[in-house]
Amino acid sequence: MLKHLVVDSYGVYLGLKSARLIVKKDGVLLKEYPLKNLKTISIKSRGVGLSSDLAYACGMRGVKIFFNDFKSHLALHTLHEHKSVNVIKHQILSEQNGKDLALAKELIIGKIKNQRSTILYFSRHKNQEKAKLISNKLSLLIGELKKFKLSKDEIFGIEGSAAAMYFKYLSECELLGDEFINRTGRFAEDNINKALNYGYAILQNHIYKCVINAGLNPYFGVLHSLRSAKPSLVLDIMEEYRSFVVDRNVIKLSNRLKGDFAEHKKFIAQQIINSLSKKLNYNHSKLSLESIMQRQVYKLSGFLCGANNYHSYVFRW
Amino acid sequence: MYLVSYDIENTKNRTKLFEELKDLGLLNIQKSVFYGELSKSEIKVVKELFKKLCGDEDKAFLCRCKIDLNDTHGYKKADLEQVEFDFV
Repeated sequence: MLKHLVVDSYGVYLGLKSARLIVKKDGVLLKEYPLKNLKTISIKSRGVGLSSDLAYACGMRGVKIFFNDFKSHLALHTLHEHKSVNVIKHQILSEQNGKDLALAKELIIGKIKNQRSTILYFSRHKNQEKAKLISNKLSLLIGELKKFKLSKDEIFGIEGSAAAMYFKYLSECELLGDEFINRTGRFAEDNINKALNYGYAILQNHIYKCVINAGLNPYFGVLHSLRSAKPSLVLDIMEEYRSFVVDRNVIKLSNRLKGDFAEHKKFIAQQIINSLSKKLNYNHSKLSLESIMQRQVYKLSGFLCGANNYHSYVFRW
Repeated sequence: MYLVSYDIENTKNRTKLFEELKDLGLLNIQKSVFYGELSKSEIKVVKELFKKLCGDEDKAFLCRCKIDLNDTHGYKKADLEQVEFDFV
């Protein structure tokens, strides 16, 4: 049953009929979806009509509505989920009791481990020696993170050098196609960087949803700087999943991403959401990656509140 | 997977049941036949709806079944399956 709806066409109207979301264009009914299992609506185009009844129904059911383009990220949701104020209290306190650094370290360790497995996965048949060399370097960085007491800036430094090595390797081995030279965030001009940015935006929505469900404040991060309108905590948690969810899919699609980027958007979104619904091993049971992400965020919230340790999710390759 | 079918004379009640079954996420594969997944609690809801909306002369049932696409006529795969993700 429908869980995620992406709207990307001008002039579409989203309304409510009974307990269903209806999509209309020029007064003609295009599609109907039950609200029952819906979790997110992502609006990626301008000029989309939205009825107040639908917004109310989504608020009551905890459906998050996202508006985003390449420049901004905005989510519409109620504060229904924020009934537990204690979580936020502990989240803010984490800055004083040192839990923020421990968490930042763990998230970056997870990120580097997942980057390492992505490299090893795509080098099974070629460039094995080069891959081994780089995986050893990444392992050293992980060791450094585990051993020493580091400040936020130092952790960020290690993360940066790992990311530079990782993208350099992908570019040298032409895993992201011959067009890709280096990684650009905003205002990217080549299709590969655009695809990565688009993928990260989708992932960001999903993590944002998990963070809100867990009652945490998405803007109070542990590693990224605190700036208004920057969902730092979401960006922190995202680090863990970037390479597995987005990079792997873009590497697989890199040969197809030629010509007008708008034509590929749908396919990229489809692939990423497919990998989010893929069942993986988690604590001796099989769960979809989406549920794993949610559970990880619950664990993170538990860690901040004083329960068990937090361990980032490492993908098997 | 479940199949729900009904034969109700009163137009108002028939429309009401049609809307309610659609809200539960079932696919109307024919004019008064629905097909799709139902949880245990939703099965109870459907039975309650039957009680509420069916008159003495009317008939309705639900049963557990799986439709094999090879055994059908005029259906496509998309007609019998709900998607988890859609792009409009």
